[in-house]
Amino acid sequence: MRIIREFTKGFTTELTPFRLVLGLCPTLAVTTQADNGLGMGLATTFVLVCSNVLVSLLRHIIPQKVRIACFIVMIATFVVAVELLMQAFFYPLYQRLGIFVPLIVVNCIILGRAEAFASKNPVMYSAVDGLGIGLGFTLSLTVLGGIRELLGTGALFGHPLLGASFEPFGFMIKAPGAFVTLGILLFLMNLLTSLGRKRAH
Amino acid sequence: MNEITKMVLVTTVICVFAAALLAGLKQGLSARIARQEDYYVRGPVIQELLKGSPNDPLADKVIIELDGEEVGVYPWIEEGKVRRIALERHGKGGYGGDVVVMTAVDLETDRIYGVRVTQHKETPGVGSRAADPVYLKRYQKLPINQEIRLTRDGGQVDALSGATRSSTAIADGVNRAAQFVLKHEEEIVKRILEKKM
Repeated sequence: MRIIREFTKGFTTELTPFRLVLGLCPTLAVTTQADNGLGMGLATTFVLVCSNVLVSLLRHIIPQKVRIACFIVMIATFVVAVELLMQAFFYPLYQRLGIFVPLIVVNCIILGRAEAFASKNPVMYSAVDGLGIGLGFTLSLTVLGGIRELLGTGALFGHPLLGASFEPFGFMIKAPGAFVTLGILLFLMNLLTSLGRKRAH
Repeated sequence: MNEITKMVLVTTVICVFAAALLAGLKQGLSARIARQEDYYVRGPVIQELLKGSPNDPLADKVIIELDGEEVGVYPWIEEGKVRRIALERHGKGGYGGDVVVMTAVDLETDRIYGVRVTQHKETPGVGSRAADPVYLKRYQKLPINQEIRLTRDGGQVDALSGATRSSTAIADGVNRAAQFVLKHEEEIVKRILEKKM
């Protein structure tokens, strides 16, 4: 079934931060805690689904020459909407994510999906594509944030897990920790793929 | 319809819809956002500034519309009298825009009771040092019946060296609060007690 394929590709071949290496700015910047990663991922997913649906709905109306400008206006509108909703309902999350919420506008995943997928496909597929890619992004950010939080503070989602005898690596929740964790995860993903490919031969 | 007209028309229609949607959303959510800001941003600052007040200053907040602006005033009420009030004002002239300053004024002595910075975009580690409560202690007990300024502008408060512009913005915010209280004290007290009744 095509619709299932469009959904699952977001977790497999088109897993954004690890497979396509897209959207790295929020991936590196906000993943100091698992719940920051989760919040950022879900905010991005919301924008992605909404913009994909709208772009797909209007794909025959928007003239080719001004399509990018129109996409950006729509994306920016949803991002500001998310920012307002977050301020109204999840203020502490808004305080922690700070500038990275408005920066969802320039997240290349969203414009990328609008341009490469939603502007050429029917509404249903575009919605599912946005949901799959968005949840894949959310999962990646949560895993990255979880690893950094666990090693950097000994807790996960704010709950202490590793006990008092654990000496946290403060390095992991600072900026270099993000690069190192991302590098190791990329290495492991590539290793797994190449092993899988060898076995197939 | 020729191509250029269509391009202009479609883009305009999309922009108008986007603006309308956001304006509506902002209007609809603004009361809720203000409550959240009270709880998460101003709440902790008010609790520090008006520590020991017998009432809850956040619950007794009054919004006063004077001179065409809306100002939220947080009162300290004791034995049926408004003893101290805290209010937020934007100080102009900061390095990264306005510095938002919460000033508490003692109405019995007409002197500054305490000052805290609630929001700023000053350079971290440079201008942001002026937001430190230890530096802000210099404002305590200054009388509000004279203009509050930095010594370099002929006032009473020393600037923090290396953070002159941030200090200027804070002094401006405190001064605006002080002048507002000086000018409208009776009106403010009346409204607070009216709400409390």
